[in-house]
Amino acid sequence: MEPHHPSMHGVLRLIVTLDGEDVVDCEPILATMFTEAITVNGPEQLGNIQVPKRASYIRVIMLELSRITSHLLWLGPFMADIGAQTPFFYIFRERELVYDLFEAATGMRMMHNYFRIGGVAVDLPYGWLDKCLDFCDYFLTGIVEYQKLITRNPIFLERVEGIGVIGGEEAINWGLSGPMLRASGIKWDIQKVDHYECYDEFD
Amino acid sequence: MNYGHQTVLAVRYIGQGFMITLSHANRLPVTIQYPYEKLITLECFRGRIHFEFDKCIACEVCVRVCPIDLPIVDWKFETDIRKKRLLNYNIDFRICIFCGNWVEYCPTNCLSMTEEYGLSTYDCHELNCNQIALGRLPMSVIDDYTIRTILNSIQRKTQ
Repeated sequence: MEPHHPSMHGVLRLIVTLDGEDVVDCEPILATMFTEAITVNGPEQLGNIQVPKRASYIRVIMLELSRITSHLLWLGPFMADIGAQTPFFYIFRERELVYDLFEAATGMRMMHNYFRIGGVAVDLPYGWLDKCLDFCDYFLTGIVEYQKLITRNPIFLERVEGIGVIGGEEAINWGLSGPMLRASGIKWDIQKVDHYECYDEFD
Repeated sequence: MNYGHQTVLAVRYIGQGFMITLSHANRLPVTIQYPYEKLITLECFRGRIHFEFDKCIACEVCVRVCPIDLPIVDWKFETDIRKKRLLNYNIDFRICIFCGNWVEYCPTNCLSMTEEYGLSTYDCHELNCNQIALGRLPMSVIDDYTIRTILNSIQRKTQ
């Protein structure tokens, strides 16, 4: 089922029952990717351990950077499946910058091993925040570029507009959450609602 | 929208996209020619493990902290001096995940992680290192005069 589903090739495996050419039954097997924050938050809540504010903010920054990288990594093969091969290389250029940031803080580019029960493993190095802000400024120009390339591109619009529309009610019935639910028009941000880390203080 | 209008819009947006491709000619290259040019990794990089045989007290904390219980610590309790004596220490780099957990926990600081990351060999059994192989000093990229080192910096790439 791989080439037809937009997730990155290999993440989602569907066992499909066929009847001639029609798909009769479909069982998804998700290779769920847990972030380290969940494994650490569990024992912290059980043991009533307070996390210092600074550590909480550092964790949020790391999680958001990981989220940016994973969304970039979604975008690459998505455009490649539609037919545009170049955004695939552009995302790796942005991801390299984030890898460098991670390497400076945690020691490894992707598998950080940074979250510990009660905070983070080590504090951020001295100039890290400035580099991070530089990355954010650069990334804004990168997004402008992506917008110019992708958002109005008539080929992209032809292939994507109007396909796979899910209404608000249907989204709740199916149990969707995250960007798909927000795109269906319902205002729901699980990070704010669930008091995850210190997302409450953000706008 | 009529067809003419659509065509004009299409040309305009595709032209915009093409200008981006052309603007790349004005930028510095993002890639490096790997075997001849290498990036300098940071000090905290979790590369190959370095082990100091003399400092180890065979406490086996590293085995307990390791998520897969990887290090093989071979020790014997010497009854005459009433201390543990370390005979052999082994790590299998085929299985090691380079998590770096034990560097925090070793009580005598005999473990550290070097900057080497190119550990591939033709024979996988060469990666099963004992204490002598682990005690090798790392091959520093900066000292190697055949390789041109590139400093990893965000400014270089954002120009």
